[in-house]
Amino acid sequence: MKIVKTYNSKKLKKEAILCSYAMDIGNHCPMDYMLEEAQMFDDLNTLVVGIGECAFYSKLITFGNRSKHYSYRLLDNDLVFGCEKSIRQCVTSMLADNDDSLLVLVTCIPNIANLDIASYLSGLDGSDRVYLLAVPHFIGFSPSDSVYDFYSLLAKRLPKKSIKNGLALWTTLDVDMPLQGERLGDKLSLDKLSNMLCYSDQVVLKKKYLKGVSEFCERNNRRFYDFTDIKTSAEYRAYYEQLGIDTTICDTVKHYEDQLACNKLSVAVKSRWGVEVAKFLSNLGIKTSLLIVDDFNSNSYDQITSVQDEITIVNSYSSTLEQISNHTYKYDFALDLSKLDYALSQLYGCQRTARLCTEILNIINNGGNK
Amino acid sequence: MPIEKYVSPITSRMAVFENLINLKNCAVIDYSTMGHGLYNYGYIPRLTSQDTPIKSFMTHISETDIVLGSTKKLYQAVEELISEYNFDAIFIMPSAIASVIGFDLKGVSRDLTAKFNKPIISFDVGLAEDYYQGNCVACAQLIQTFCKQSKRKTNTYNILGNFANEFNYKPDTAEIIRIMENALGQKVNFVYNEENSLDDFASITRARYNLVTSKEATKTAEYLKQEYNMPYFYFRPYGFEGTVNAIEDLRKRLNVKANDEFLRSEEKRYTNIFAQMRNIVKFQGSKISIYAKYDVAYGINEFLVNELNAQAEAYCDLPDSNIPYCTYDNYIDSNREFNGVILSSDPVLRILGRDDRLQIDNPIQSYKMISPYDKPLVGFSGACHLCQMLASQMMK
Repeated sequence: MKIVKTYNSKKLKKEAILCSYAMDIGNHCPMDYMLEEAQMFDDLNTLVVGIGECAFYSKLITFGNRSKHYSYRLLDNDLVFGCEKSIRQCVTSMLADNDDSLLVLVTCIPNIANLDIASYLSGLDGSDRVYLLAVPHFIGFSPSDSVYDFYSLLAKRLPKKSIKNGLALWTTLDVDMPLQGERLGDKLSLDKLSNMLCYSDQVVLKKKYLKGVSEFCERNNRRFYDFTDIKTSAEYRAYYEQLGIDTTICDTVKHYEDQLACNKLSVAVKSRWGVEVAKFLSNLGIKTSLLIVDDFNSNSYDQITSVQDEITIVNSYSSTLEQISNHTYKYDFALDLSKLDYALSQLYGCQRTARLCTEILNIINNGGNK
Repeated sequence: MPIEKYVSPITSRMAVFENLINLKNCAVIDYSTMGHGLYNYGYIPRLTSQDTPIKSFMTHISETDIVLGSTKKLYQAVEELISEYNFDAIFIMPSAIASVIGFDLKGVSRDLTAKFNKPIISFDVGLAEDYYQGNCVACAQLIQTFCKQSKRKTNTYNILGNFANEFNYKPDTAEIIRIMENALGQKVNFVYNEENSLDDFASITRARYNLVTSKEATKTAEYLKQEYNMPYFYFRPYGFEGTVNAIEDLRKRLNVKANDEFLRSEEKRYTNIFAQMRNIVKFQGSKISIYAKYDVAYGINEFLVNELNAQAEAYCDLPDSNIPYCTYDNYIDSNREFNGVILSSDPVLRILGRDDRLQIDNPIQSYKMISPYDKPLVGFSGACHLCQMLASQMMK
């Protein structure tokens, strides 16, 4: 048995407890996550400031023909003496090439060496088009945090347009929802994001937009709806009423919830939605003692610590509940919900909660998974 | 300005990694952050046929380790390797993070070696060094550490060079071995970039001499000459006459008899191809531009200019060599309008919109399986292959 990375929420600071040093348990770095995200934008050039490996591996991500994707390779003398002049030169030349904005990704080594890239770039002509994002891998919970930070940065910095009535649906997928509004779509651009933010009602359906949009709504008097997790019927009822959606399904879900709430159980859960499931079950009085999830980021941490004091999180999705269930982790039922991962991602609101409840009731009635 | 627009070549540290990962029953620990190591991990399947998950480890360095200057995880990682596997040696990668923070990896390696009674070795390469330096350091240190005095065998040699980050190194090595055996009756004792065990390294000195096939191995060959009195010869022949001349030169130095029958049979085979190719070059008159690793660019250029009378020009990515140096970006920018055939690596050919079958240098941005069944570029077979590649382009 190998539990590769575990977190315990009581002791959790920022660091996982490692149970092995094998390389194949690792995650890709935040730079990689960010480049994957940035390549979806039509009007965003990128500059990676890092050492040779960052330069080399960043080139493995294919960008569209239009975007420029350059690297600034840091050498020893840059770290010792600084590199203000050459970084400014480099950014200036990239900004001069076209009217697109520039995302500067500052990787591990410049962060360790405390290169103050922000001050290097201050006062630069066109600096309003430069988005600077630190993407060190030795900080934080998960590399996916960098994507949350990216959208948060954009939401703060994008030009503000006047508010207009309507719904902005933050998803790149063409999801089946009883809501009419402006969808993000699969062609991204900074202009598109800016247009989305001007709507009065902001409905977030994908987690990566959550931080940016929620912060923006707080600052700019927009109504914010979070459809990224799994809420109770009572919570969704409030949303549905505000959004003018039929609430009949909320009653059905309430019925399932009542059935679940009768069982004051403790469970172990394996699911990509593990944190959301644990939070939902906690609201019904069911305690989750062990979670197997594929990504545990700062959003997950905030969610889980808001409902439970003590939980063990295994951040290795190849692990199974059977491998991990020993006397250390006391629970009544093992809920392997991994086969629901895709289905849950295709559903929203009460439909998602309903699907989850029926599956859990089914497992519990059959004695639990192994 | 150290900006890289299109292509970033591999670094010295990556080159060290590629040198180490193919060794039998040895493990590599990347003293670095998670993602840093993981990228290297993604490259391993191409580089080794061994069970990759139990060969590569990393310390998953965190903010706390950096702030406190802690090497605890490195000790724990080595402990895990020692307790769970029985590796003959453990190599600690010279990560950029360690060098920036100023961790004394050499000192820690010495301490770990004493503690666990196993060879635990780190390598000394800096941020500014290129992959030539990485190959050079890894090759030299491995051989200096593990080589022992042995009894010599006549007519035997080692191949030093043909590194894992070179294009088609396996078929090139096979062609050199074929030529040496058939033309000069010489047997290979050790090939640097095979799946060698530490015992293989110990027995290097059984050979009578070394063949250096890549410039980076010269330092190691020089060491073996000084310490073990083993002469060395540069042997990476390109072209038909080039190969014949290299064999003749080596024959004289070794004072052995050549197998004329083999050379005649090869000549009989290549004469026809050679004649066709010279005609094509003469009538098509296409220009040829080469951009590759030093040894490859130099050798192929000599073949094209001296034997085929082609209008060829060569550039390499090694500064201060006897052919012009050029960065990838400069080469790409200055050859966008080049009206002729370009021989280079995959990103150069892709960005310049050229046929990727004209690849002669290591695949930087694409995955290419390493296979002994590929066609070589060196020797007689390599010359035929090069002619086929060029002819198909020139006659388009």
